[in-house]
Amino acid sequence: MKVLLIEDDDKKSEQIQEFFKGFIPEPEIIHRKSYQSGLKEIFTNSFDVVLLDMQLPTFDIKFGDDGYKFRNLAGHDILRELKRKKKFCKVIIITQFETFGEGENYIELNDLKSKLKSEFDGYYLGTVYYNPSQYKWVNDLRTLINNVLNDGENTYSRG
Amino acid sequence: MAKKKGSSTRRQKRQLERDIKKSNANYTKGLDNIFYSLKYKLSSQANKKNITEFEAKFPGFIEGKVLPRTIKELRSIGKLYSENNLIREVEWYHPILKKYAKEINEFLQLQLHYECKFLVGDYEQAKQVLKKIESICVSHWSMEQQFFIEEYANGITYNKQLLNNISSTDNDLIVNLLAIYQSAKAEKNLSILNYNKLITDFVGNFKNEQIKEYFRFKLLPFEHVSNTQNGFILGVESTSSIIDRYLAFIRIIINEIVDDQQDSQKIDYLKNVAHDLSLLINDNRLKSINSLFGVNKYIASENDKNFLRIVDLYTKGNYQEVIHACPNYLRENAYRFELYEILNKSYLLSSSDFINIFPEDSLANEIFEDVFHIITKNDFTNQSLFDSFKINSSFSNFSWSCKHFSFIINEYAFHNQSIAYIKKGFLHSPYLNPAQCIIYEDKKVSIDYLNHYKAITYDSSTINFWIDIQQSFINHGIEIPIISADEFRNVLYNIKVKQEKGKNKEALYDYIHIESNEQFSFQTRLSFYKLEILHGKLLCYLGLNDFLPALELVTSSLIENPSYSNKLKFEILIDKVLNAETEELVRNISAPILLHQYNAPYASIWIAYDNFLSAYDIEYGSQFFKVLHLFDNNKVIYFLKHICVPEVYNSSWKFETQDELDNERIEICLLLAKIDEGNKTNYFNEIAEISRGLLIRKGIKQIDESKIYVDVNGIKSSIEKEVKEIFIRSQILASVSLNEVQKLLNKKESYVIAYFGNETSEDKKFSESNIKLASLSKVEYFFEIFRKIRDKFIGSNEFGLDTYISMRIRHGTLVGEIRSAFEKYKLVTKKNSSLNKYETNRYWLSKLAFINNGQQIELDNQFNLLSSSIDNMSEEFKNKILQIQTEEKITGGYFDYSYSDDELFALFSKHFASIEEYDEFFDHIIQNLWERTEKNLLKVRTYILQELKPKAESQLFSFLNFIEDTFKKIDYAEVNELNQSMILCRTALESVFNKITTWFQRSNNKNINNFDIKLPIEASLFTLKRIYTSFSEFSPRMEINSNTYFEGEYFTQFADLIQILLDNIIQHSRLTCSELYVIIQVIERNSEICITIQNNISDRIDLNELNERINETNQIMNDLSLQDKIRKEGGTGYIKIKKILFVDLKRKNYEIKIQNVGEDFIFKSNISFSLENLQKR
Repeated sequence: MKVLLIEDDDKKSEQIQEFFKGFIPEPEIIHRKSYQSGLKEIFTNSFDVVLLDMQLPTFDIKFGDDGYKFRNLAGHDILRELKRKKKFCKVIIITQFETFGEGENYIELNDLKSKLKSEFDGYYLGTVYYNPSQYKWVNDLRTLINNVLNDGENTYSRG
Repeated sequence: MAKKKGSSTRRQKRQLERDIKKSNANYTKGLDNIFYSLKYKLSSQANKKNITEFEAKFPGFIEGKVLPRTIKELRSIGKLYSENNLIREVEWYHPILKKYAKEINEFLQLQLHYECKFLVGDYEQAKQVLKKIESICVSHWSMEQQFFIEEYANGITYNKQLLNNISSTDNDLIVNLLAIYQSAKAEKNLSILNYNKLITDFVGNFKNEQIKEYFRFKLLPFEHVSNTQNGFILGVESTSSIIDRYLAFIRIIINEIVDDQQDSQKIDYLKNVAHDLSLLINDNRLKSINSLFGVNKYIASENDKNFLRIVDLYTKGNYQEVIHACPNYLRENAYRFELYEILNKSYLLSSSDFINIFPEDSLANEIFEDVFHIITKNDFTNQSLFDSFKINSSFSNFSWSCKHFSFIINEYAFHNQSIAYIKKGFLHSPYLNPAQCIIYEDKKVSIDYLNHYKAITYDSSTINFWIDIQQSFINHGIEIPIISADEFRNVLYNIKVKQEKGKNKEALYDYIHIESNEQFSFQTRLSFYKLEILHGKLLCYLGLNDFLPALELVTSSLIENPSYSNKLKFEILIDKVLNAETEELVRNISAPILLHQYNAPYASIWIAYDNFLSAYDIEYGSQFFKVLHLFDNNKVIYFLKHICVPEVYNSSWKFETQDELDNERIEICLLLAKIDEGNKTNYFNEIAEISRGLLIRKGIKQIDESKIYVDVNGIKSSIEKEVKEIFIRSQILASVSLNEVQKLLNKKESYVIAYFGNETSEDKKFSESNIKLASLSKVEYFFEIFRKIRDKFIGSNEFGLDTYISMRIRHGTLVGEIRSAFEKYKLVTKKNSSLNKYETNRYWLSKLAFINNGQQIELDNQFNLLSSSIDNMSEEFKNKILQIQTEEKITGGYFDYSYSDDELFALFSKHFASIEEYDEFFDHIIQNLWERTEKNLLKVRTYILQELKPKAESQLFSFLNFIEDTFKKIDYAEVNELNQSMILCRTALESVFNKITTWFQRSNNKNINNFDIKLPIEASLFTLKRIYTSFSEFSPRMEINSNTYFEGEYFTQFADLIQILLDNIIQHSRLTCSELYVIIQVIERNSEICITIQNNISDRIDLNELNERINETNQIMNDLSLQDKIRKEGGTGYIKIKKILFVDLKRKNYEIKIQNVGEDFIFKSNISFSLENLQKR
């Protein structure tokens, strides 16, 4: 299984990668840390599933660089670009926040889920609420990945 | 069921009767209950007898203090109950308003008189009228006017003095709370944004939605759009003065009637109350409510007729006569807002010069000029709109404010948003106006109103003009031409009627015709008529679903005059462009332009931009030159100027860094300079500004990468004499033969040493061909030289590594950088050094004010713990890890330069003994020390990423666990916000530690080739703003008079110098960012540069103590030696500045002078030094 993980939090990335290693034999995981590098990876390669953080810096944070602007809804922006450029991908959002944005752009997680479902039907598989102190996220992610795997099998068997 | 309800009501009534009989004044709780029952449990009709009895027994308990004589008396009696029952409150208001109709009438008359005096700036007279009003009663309204008079007549100090007087009195809580914000409302220089924020923050403190609504109603009436709590608001106002009650009542009734037509039973009831009151209270607003329901009982005064005569002059096109008649009338009746517009339009229509008829500095003068700019659609239009919103927000309780608001909103808002406000504007008007006929939905009711108006005034052209219009709507079959106004308006309104009747094709034809009609060329060139025609045409296109011409019309018109944007905004056009269903629309350059003109979010503009470029196979805006010829030049310029900006194309994955975004913008500016030559200076200025940003980022990178530094040349020259001598002596010692060496080699007392004849690797064989011998003395000399150079390398006050680590890392920067991630989310507080205690985290504790006391204390402890853990961790890193260690000085520091004798023997035999030249020998030692430094730096970097960062994360994690455990059952947005802040802080920590890691790398990059003096100032400011998050708005005034370009290698030293000075100011002035005022002056004279920095300091600072310290520092500055103090952290850093000048910049002539601080509490220091050899050659 080829996985693209777009996540800027190292701790969270480690745990997600650990999850895959314990769940799928020899997963191929590519890790990117910003809106731009993530999008570039998606447009230049193909993945079975993309795991996407909702909030990301625009560019990779390198030595002496601060990543430019922080995008509060980077995950949404990436999905929008995929749909717009018709690059098909299965996307799981994995976030540790319950609310996003501020002022006019403020949105709560449940509303965001419905928005993503209606806007990106076919791309968006679901959202996992990540809380490092609990195991629920692992189960939730496992369920979604199983869906991807089953869907893949069905596709192959249909094909 | 009905019977049961009836008997229950009777039971309650009887119980009340018994309670009233038993009640006495000493048992107030009992009285409160009775009052509550009287007000809310039974209808007022059923209670009539009980109410009378209760009122007779306890006078004033029901009515409250209707006519307070002083502020203290305001709300002093009366029970505050409110159940948010609008009808019940109006039932209670109704008899009281009738009872005090005389006082209300008196107030209404004086109110207009007061407003006129205030508007024209006659504050003395206004004060006298206000006194008369206050002799009726004191009110929140009159209190607000007192603040206005103090602010406008005497300035803000008097305003605040009045506030102090009120606040220091033991008034009712609501009175004192409102006073604070009424005082702010009156402040001339408080922007509308800041005022709104102030009120929103204040209101946000309340959990109760009803209380929030009450304060919004009182303090932000035009923002207050919800009618859901009107019953509650009236309930709260029912304990205030009769004036406040009436003003709240009338505003709420109008809001209800305009906004909520659904509940016909409620509207009927309110209409009847308004009608009943209009029989006693002489208020045009009550009559207008009646008129809305077909009952016209207006009375026209002579003043009203005079007003109508002026409006008639305008209608007939006699503009010069308007200009002649208006000023005197308007100065006497400055609240008649329509005439501000009519007079201004008359100036334009008669090509007369604008003359402001109101006294200078008066409020009316300001409003009049704003109206002129808004109508003219000039460069000041948007500013005038903004200023008008501010005025409107301040004077929201003035009689003209609703009409003023409807005027601004009509000029500003999206189409249709303004209709409700126009309606409210007329309904709130204290006088008659024929144009009011537009608010009636039924045209026959409009005509009735106009006929009644004519009957009580005279045969007015304006009334006839409006009758023409209304009739032409009624007559669907036959066209009835509008003929009562001047010719142009007759034609224009005939077209408007066609368009409103849905005859879009015909109307469009007529609009185009009128635009090209020579006869009307003067009028159609006037901005307000031009806009009216454009607006009409646009409505026709939209009515015909003809979107492409609509798009072209809007974009071209707004390129020509951006001030039209507010009136030409239509959501449907945005939807069309965003959905871009046709190829024609995607390939249309106007699509992204329209989104920008409509202030759409950059994310939406990006999509239109990218779709558009992709349609022409273009990847970057800078490649647009390939297709320039396909589009209208004005649109190309607009596209490149406003759409091809980093905020738009930062959504592209093709740019990898901010520098790439900026370079793309530079390319676009160059292209713009070619095709828009007239504005090329602007584009070159923009390029210069972007380049400056690029340079600052480079500079900061250079600073970050230069923290690990040793001045090797300085060391070499400072010890050359001494060390070279030892080296030469060691070279003179003769070698001995190999046989003798082999015998002696393994003996402890050996005095000769074997070494490789050439510098060699570890595995080279020990054989005659490559081994030479030296005496032990030579080795001892080597040890001595190596250790001397090593000690200078690490410990020299002037040149050594420890000095630079101290100056550039340990001195504030490190702790500040680590704290910055936490401070950004307000998770840590500062330590109060005198109390040796961390300050309470007021930000979060006040946000979480709803938790109980015990939880507050525990939370405060946890915040303190987090602050102290983070500081301790940073201190430990600074004081233990970032220290130098040698074989003699065991500190545990990671900069370990210990060399055992064995190590040195090995170095000597393999690398150094064979070297015969001093320079080579010295360079080899330095190279070895750098190699050791690299190892040390790797250890530090590993420590940061593997120990320090996890430590900080674990502190945060413990805190997060505490919050989760404590608040797991509390579902409040604020707890969620705190959680979110901690998670964001963790991500920010990642970036902070990555950044700190870059400090512990050596780099030979020279990013800056040359620089002017402003660059290190800007780079230092950038760094300090990042470290001190509460100083993110820090903005010293710069007065730079220097043209010198300095050699890039000195950039870091200049930046260090400036940063020390500015850091001092932030740390020692004891002022907040908004209180601090800093001036940086740089001048050049006689090949010398002089940097002067002055700032204010807190007047709480002890001047004697400060001046003593200044004198001491000045003495140290005059001392020629550089003390160990250089490496001490804390203090003011002047010694470090001295070191930068003397050692790093090698200045022989320099002066550092701090002036003594006087009673003005201004701290000033001058640093001057020669420019020699610093300039870029």
